[in-house]
Amino acid sequence: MDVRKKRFALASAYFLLGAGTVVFTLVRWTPKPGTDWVIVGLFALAFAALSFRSVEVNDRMLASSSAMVIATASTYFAIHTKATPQGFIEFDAVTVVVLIAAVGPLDILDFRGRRVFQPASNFGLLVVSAFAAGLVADTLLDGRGAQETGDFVYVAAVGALVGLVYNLVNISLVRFGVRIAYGSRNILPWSGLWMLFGSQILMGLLGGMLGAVFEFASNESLLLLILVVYVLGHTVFTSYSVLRVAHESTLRGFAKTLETRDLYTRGHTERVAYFSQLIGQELGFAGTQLEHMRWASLIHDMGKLAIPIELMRKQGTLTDDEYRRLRTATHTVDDLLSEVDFLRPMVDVCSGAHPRQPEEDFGQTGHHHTTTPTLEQKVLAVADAFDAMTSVRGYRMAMSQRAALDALREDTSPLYDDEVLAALEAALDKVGETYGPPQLASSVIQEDVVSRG
Amino acid sequence: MADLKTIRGWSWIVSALIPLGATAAVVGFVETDDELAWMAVAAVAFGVASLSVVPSAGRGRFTAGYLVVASVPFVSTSDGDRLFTTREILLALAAGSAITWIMRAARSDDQKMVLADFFKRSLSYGSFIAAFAVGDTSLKFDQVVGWHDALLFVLAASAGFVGEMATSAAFRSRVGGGGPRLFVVLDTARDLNVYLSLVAAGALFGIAFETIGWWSLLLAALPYAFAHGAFRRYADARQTYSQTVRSLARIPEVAGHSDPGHAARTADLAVGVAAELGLRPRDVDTVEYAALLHDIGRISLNEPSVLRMGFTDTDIARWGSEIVGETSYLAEVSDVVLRQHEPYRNPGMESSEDVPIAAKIVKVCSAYDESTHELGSSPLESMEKLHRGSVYDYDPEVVAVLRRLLERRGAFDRSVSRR
Repeated sequence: MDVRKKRFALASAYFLLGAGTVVFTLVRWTPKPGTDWVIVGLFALAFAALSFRSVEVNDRMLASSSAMVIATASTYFAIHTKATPQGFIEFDAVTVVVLIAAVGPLDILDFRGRRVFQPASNFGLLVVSAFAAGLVADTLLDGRGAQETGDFVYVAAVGALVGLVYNLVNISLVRFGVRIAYGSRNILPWSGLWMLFGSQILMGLLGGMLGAVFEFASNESLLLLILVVYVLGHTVFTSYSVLRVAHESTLRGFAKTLETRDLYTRGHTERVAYFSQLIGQELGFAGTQLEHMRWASLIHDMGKLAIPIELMRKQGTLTDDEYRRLRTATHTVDDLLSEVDFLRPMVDVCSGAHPRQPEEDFGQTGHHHTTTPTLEQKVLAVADAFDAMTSVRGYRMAMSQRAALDALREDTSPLYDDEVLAALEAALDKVGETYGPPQLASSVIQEDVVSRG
Repeated sequence: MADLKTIRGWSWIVSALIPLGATAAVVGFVETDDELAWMAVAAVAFGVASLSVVPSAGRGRFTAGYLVVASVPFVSTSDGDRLFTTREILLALAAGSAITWIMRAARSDDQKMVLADFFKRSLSYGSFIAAFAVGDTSLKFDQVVGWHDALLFVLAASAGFVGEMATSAAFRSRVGGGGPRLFVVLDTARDLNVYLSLVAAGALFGIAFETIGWWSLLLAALPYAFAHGAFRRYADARQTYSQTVRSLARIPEVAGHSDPGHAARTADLAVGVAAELGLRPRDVDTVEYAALLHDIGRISLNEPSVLRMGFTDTDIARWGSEIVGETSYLAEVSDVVLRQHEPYRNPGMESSEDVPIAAKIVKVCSAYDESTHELGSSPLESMEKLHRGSVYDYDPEVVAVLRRLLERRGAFDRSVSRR
């Protein structure tokens, strides 16, 4: 099934789920005089504005601080409309937050662009998450109208729980959707996800506290400050996204530099990144480690930038002098890359992943040559060598996958570790890909579609 | 290095806990009815909070002190009156400022800087408090039932920010480099978001205190922690770009395609000229990055010589701009790199308006540096070349500004004495 069909099925399923939830909520609900529709409208506006401005925090994963609005609204309305306790669960907070969430995905740009899938599935996602969140608030805050400090703590805790539930439901649905629609192997790893999740929970807590204060203090002025805090929450996600884009941009810039210099290695870096990611996943790397693997692969050839082109294109063996020039150039670029703070650990991985002659002296350049390479260095070395062997170079034909793996196994260098090689083979089996002849199409085309789903 | 990085990553928690912990510790010792004790609490909280600086983009240096400044006036007693009179607030803040001053002076080498900060802060805090006092007593906000505090907040926050910008401009020489006053004001204005989140968190504390007591500390500390984390990530991202650009800029030099240090020197001149011309802070950044990267396209040359291979400057500029264009943040820089080799006007035409001013600046500064460093001309001779080239190549306005800048830096004095 192609991506389009999958996305269609997914969007329809989510939409129907959401529509069902809205209908169920409205049928179940009897309007009460305590509901202040102006405030509902304000919250809905804030929610829509925040979801509209949601930022892509990771590959195809959008986040926004709208959970704060849900937490505030559900705590506030769960208490506010229940001046007289009723005894059973009233759908007060549920109705309000479901209504708020239902108008959230209405986005003028989507209408203009005639996009249907994303708004439809977003609608379902948000409504279902809001329903779960509102249910928590209604259940736990039933019949509470007293204005005591002890109540504030309880209400704030419920707010945090509301935020947690909302985010858990939302994130699991999104992750499930992305997995179904795109498959997991095209998703770029990112180390910041857990921190992001932590922020979401804290924002739920803050949102709940705001709802409780707004109810207890009954001072309209708080609305203005609450809105400012929402904007601040938005800033948090934007900052994550900005930092991630900064890192990605840096890597892309360096990769492009390399490509401009030498069209010959075009695609090599990306394939090495892909192979090292495959190996990493097979070896059980996660988050940060996978991300570092990818970054290291993207910069592992940067040393070439300082090598005079006549040396790079030279066929046959290099003289000693030429070899020394080549080494110095590589290390100069390593030093240069180390000036970028976040690349420093990756440069260490790269500089250890190049196979070396035993007699080489690294004492003067300040680079430590450890005799036992780290696991990351081994992974990168294997990915690099494997791609070099299975693709066509100016001076030789490409080797078949089997021949390349066998040759690497026979190599005595500690870099070509058997465990890592086995992981590569297993991973390639799993994704059903073979490199080198007879399949000449060895480049992996990574789909570069970013969806707001 | 890894350890340092980890500590830095958690610094926002530490800095959120410092004001929180200090206040709570003092609170433990006071009787709630004692006016003086309350003032002491405010003073100590303010003094300690002012030590923790929130990262920001421009040259504003906002401290957690703003949390306390914005919160204290809003605190009310249970019968709805303000807890502090304006005089009490000012006294408490003065005492707090003294605490900050003493603690900073004890561990700082630059006493003038500490003193300048002391005055700066006193002025901007003062305008916040003054605007609040005027609004609370003279204006008829009371008639807007419920929104009284919100209107006060808007008034006081605006006054405080205007005070912050005015003092930054007044103390510009103290805080690194200077530049025209308008530039300093605009640069400070970039930090409106930092400022706003601090005072909003503070006001939230002040308004909520009456109802939920000391729990409102948590209510203010969370937004503060968010702000601290978010703006540090912004700062990290900016630093990453700046480091990347500097690193990329050295690649043509390492590969032997351009004179070592040329990019850095050109950037230094270009930033001076851009600030002198009154460009906005963001555009000055663009000029700096473009100046650093203007030769990056040369790495695609086979040999460190332009003419031999038959490539033109246009090709080099195009390659360079493609590389720079890979980074979304630097899209404007990419355009400047593409255009910086073009003459500012073509024969028979008026000055071509579509060449960005940044490109003209980079062209002039690069030519000046090349002349003084690679061709060995004196500054005066180099300026003469630029003047002669200002028919087509070099924009006369930019050349004039460069000359003013160099005169101020004393470049021509040195060349005279050398002779």
